[in-house]
Amino acid sequence: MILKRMLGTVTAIVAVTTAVVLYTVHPVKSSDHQDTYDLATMANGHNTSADITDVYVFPAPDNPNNVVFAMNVSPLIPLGMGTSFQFDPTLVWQFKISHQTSGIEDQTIMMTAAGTGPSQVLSLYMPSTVQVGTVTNVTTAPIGTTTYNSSATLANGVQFFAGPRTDPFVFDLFAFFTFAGDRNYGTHTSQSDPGPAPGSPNAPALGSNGNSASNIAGLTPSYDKTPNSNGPSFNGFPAGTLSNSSGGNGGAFGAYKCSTHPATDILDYGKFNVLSYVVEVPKSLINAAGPKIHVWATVSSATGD
Amino acid sequence: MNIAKKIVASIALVSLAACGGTSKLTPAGAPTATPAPTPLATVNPTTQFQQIERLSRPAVKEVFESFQHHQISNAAEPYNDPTIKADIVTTENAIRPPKTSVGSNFGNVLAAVLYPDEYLVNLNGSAPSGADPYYFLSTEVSGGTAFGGRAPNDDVIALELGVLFGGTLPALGIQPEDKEENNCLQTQNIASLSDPAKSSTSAFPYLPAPR
Repeated sequence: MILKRMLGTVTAIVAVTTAVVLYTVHPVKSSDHQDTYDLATMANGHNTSADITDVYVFPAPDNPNNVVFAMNVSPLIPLGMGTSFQFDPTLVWQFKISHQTSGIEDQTIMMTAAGTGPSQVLSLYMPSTVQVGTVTNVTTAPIGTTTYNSSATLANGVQFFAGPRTDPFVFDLFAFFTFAGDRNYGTHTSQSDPGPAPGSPNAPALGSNGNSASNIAGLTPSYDKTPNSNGPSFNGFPAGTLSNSSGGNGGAFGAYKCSTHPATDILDYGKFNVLSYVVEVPKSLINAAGPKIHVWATVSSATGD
Repeated sequence: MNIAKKIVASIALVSLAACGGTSKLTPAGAPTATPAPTPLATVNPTTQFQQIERLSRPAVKEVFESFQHHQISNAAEPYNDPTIKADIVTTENAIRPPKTSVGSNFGNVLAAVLYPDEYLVNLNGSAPSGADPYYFLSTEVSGGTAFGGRAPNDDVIALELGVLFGGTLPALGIQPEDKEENNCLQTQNIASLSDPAKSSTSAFPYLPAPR
């Protein structure tokens, strides 16, 4: 028992240390993790479940008659701490669906949370009337609910899960930041802060004060830029690999050596988790107006920030 | 201010671990299936909720939009986004300028494909197979016959880097070969499943158990 406690303490320290390092030294985002300054710092008053990291739409692997909608939120939940994070009960999450070529929504699947702890109850709505646009009211009763970290089968064969999952995304984030540092919220002091000015020492390749490829000089390199100090690169290339080794020009950045530093999937390195909404729906509930649909996800708050 | 907030966040994480340790954490694994609780009337129907975050295709905002524009896109409908379409053209053309000698214009083509930023799904479409094993962008490149959308383990970054910096669009015949591929950027050299623990499962809820 004492040994188990010691191991637990070590595990917690490792997890927390990893989180501290990443939160304080290397602000992290990937597909859409820490998308804005307010979402990353919780300056908008919500917990991190306002921050969507990834959205998925795929056929159910175990039932070809069903389609799965999944939304991950709350990026960078440390190893072993998945069930310590819950959904923000002041928010509304939605999968928006359009059957029209215009892409304007005509169907929605909504989720809300009630309570704040591990006994939290999550509700699922499939309203018959859709509010088009960026303002939403929850005017109908839910078709059913589930409890946190549980799955439930609701009316019409809809399955609903809400709780922690491993973040399946794969990305060498730090390599990306070496040439797109503007996308790192840590280079901004607020959402309105444009970040490093063009030509300044920290100006990244892809954008500060707009997107300019002329701003690629001066970023502290994490790879061998000897042949060309302006050469952005991902990591993990064999020594001598050139940006234009296929006989071309190397694009706007020209010819230079690619980085030989080891590539790292930072989300795997940190063993990070997210909170997930997963909704499996019979296709018959979606394709009444045709099988071709457009899908996106949103988060909304009563305060609009 | 920024640093102070990060420190506070770190302290909160430390405190959380100190209070709960690991003994209160639920072991990673499949979620429990429980009877559905009684629906609760938890939301005031007169409360108006304003959109603050929006996402569909992965990394589109991250790659093409400046950080300041993310908030603008997040608050807009994808079909009324005031910034992203022009940002796609501007960024891609900065990376890979149009080449009149071969007739290439990657920026315009990508803007046409990626705007509005919504997944395209054909519920009756075919599953990916062969050389293109991913759902992501399969509807767009198949002319609507493939399922599309995105599965949890689709290597979306590999696909996107190939489109932006590599030879994907010329190989598909969507753009002419412009000889402007950049080998240092067209792959991130990480396998789509860098860790089997990140693999999706065959049973609901399909996403891998927490670690």
